[in-house]
Amino acid sequence: MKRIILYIILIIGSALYAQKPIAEIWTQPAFFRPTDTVAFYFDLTGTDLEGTTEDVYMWTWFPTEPDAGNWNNSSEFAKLTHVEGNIWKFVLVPTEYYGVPADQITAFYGLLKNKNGTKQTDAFAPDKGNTIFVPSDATIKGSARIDYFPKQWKADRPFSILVNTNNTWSDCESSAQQGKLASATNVHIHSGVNNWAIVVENNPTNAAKTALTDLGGGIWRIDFVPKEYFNTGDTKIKSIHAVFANLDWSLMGKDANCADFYIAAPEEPEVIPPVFTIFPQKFSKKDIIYLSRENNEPGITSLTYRISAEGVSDLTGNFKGTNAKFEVFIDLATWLKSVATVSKIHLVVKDNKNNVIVDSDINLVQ
Amino acid sequence: MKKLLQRLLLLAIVLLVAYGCEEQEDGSYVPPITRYELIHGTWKLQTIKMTDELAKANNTKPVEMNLTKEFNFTSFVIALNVDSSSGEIKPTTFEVTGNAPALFATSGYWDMDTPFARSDGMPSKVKLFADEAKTQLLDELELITVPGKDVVLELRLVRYSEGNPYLSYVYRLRPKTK
Repeated sequence: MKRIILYIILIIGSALYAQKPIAEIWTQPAFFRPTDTVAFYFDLTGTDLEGTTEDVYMWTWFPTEPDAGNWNNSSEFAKLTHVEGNIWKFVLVPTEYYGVPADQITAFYGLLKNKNGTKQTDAFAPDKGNTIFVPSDATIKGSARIDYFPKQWKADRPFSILVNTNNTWSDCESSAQQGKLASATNVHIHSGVNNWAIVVENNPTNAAKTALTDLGGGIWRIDFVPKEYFNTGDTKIKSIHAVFANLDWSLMGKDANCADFYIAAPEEPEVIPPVFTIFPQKFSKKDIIYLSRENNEPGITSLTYRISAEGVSDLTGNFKGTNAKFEVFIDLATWLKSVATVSKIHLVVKDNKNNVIVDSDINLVQ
Repeated sequence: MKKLLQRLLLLAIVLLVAYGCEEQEDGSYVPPITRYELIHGTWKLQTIKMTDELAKANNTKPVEMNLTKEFNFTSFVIALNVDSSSGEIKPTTFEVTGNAPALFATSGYWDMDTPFARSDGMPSKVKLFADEAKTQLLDELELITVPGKDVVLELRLVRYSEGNPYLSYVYRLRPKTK
């Protein structure tokens, strides 16, 4: 019996203190090796550290635990840098930070916390599905002509393209050759988005922008944020086409049969717009009403309401529910009992980010 | 043979006389059961549902909400009191107790538009008055389920705008047990 009670306490306790997941994690550059300088970016929206004015610290336990024993007083070397809003970054050279050779670093697990550990995020770790992995170069070192990271890339996040010049093709119009670009001393990308609708040319003017970095062994890499690189504005990027060449185009690297390389944008999940409901359609001061909002935007963790009417104090409260659906019943009958006549109410609904969802007068049936 | 026929004839005459003289018991006059008799007493809320009559008419959603678990509606009790001192059951006062939101008058006097089922098939109405003379009508509740074998009373409060219903609440009630 005691054991059952203990389990119940543990279950309730863990539910009460369940940590909230980090909204988004990405790296700059998208492709890096354990010996490279890399920045881990974290969006803390929706976590207990959202909007914090305290310093934020890295607490990591894999591949090693650099700040072990200091949960109550994180070290300065574990401190993150604030970027903007709820975005924070942690810049490191993995082999130096973790103090182990590159071949022992394949992934990173951890969480973020305040200095004394009273606030923390949920972990980035395998069981959470958000581990930070060291991108693998196995594919590009093999027979692949290009590879890119991350696979689920976004137009407004860092993106890396790798090309293996030993495997690219050229001279298809005469006698197709493979690997000719490997003899180039510089490699540039000539690319466009949405079937070449917007192009960044490989030309001397763009030399710095289009240049790839030599990783050795015939493998070259370029990092960019697609939306910025192509200056697409509000245009949605559906695909990227590319060919590689040296700056004077004397050596080229193309896909099989000398086709342009083609990278499709990942399928984006269909965004279902939020739906706000006021029930019933008509009501009087003597009624009960129901408000709900379904399909809330990511990061929306709560909704509040304020209702005003002439002659009474405002009525305020919180919606119940989760991001998928918040709802609340409101008793107008009791609130407006003391008011003889009232022709309308004013309803304001806001989310936890202070966005105004509703700000409107509603007429009451007399 | 002749004697046998005579005896049978005699027996038939005796039986006819005996049957013909029996008195018929028709019973005493019993007045029909009124709605007052069926619905008076103290009733406790079992469920309450709210219906958007406009959504229902226009076939849009949502149409209905269950309010039972909200605002202490389960504490709702209504007493429909009667006076039977004259031998006839007559409605007198009503009182709502509990701390559920008051969607209609909580005390006063009650009556019905007709003590019996309406001939047009429409639900009878429980009328709630402010005064004993029953001249100041406060609210009306439709009697949509009359207690029978299943002792359930259902009252519907309908809101109207320019004569058209736009919202209703159905109170499903059972006798309050002490």
